[in-house]
Amino acid sequence: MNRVRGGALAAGLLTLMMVGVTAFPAAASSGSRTTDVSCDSTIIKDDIVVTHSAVGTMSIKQTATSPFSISFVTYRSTFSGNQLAWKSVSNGGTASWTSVLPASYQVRAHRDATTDCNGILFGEGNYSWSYNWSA
Amino acid sequence: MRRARLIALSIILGGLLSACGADASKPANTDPIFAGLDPAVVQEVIASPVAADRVSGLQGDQALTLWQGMVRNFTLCRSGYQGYKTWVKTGQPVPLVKQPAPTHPGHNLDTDEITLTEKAYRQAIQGGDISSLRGLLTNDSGCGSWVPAEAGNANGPTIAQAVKKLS
Repeated sequence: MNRVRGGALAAGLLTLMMVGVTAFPAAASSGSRTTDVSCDSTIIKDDIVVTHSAVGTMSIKQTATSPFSISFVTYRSTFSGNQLAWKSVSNGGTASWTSVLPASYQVRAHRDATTDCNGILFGEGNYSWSYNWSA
Repeated sequence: MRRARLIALSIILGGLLSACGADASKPANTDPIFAGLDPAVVQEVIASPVAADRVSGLQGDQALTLWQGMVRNFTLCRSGYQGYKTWVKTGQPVPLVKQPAPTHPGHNLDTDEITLTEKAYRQAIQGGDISSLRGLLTNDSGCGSWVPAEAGNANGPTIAQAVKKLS
């Protein structure tokens, strides 16, 4: 799990002050994950925390789901509560946000609509969600 | 050790309030995590349905740290907005008011996100370029996108909306 480094955030914000809030390249970090998300659309999955150290673009690409699912995804700051707009992604689709301020962000996701992924078993069950993140 | 005692105290207090019918998912406004912060803002954030959504899924000290951070975020965002309004009205930048510091900070106060954002506000004001402050207050990933412009008016315009209207 990546964690905020204050120096990196400070540098990002200082750069923000100098150049404004647009069109500044972020120091990119990225990775891939597979995790379970509830098939109950009201249950939000809070997944990994990533560091976004300079003003720039963040993204989440949904690479695979089983059973097939459309997901709503976002990033939430773990300290201020600031959160990017929820966006819908299908397999192969990418949600991206530009001019994102530096912070420590947690990936959040939920299914677009509730469905029964659990057959005859109790509850709605989960789907396997694979994604690439970039911060 | 002090942090452990703080968490333990919060859990005990939370348990007592739960027994009295309070919402167990929210801290009491008397929780030690809020010591040193503006009680009115604490009350507003605890009552905010958006804030409750933002903290959902977190437990224990992670949740408490976020509650504290959101209170500081609301306070800082409003200070920035007040400064922006004055700047627009008078044509002159005014220094950001001193921000309250929590007695029991959840993060390192020298390097956490709120402190760094406060520094960005101060730099924008000192730089004399109002568009820099406007950019911070209207950024989609910033506080202005969800903090109400008017204290306690959760259904009113956000700070970002109010700033855009002024511009």
